[in-house]
Amino acid sequence: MGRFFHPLLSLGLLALCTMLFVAACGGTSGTGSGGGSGEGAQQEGSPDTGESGESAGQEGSRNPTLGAADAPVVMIEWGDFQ
Amino acid sequence: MEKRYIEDGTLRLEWRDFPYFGEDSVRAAVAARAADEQGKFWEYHDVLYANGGPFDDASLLRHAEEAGLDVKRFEKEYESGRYEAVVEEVFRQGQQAGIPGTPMFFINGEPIAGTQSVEVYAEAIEKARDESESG
Repeated sequence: MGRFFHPLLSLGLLALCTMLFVAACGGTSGTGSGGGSGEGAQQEGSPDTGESGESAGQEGSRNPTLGAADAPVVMIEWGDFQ
Repeated sequence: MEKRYIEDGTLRLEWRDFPYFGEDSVRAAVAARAADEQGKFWEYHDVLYANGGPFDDASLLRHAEEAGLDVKRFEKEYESGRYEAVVEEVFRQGQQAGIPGTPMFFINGEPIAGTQSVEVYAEAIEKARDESESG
């Protein structure tokens, strides 16, 4: 009985460890891949923090700001002029 | 209200384009970027909001004059084609981030949706300031 369970237990543990490892690495569509939407968004400008789009790499990509660069409070306004 | 907190160094305000009402919205966003080239984005921003649409080329030029811009220089920048891609990219980022509509504000990451009273913004700014001071 003990001998019967050991291989199954080992396989189960191996499968569990594999799943945990894949989840920790972000899977096949996570931030580590070429899409990188999470990290890319942060590099290009997080929607809710003060990181602007300055690293977008395009001329004129700086988002208009008003106030000191080291101000403790940053207010992002997502707007449409209509 | 915002000027008070900006002038005393508490607040930095950043604009992000979210032109989701169509071509007029995109034209206005591009025009505002053209105004920024003369350092007058916020003046133009205020004029656009004060007047509202429609935002065809002629009205955007009129608004540029109202905002005190060099209109010829503004027109050249506006027609240069330099800003469409930037506006589209920022808009795309907003869509990806799930921005539901406008105006949408984040004050040190805390969301405030829609137009609110001055007190709401002031309270949020002061709360964020107090939290940043307390470490």
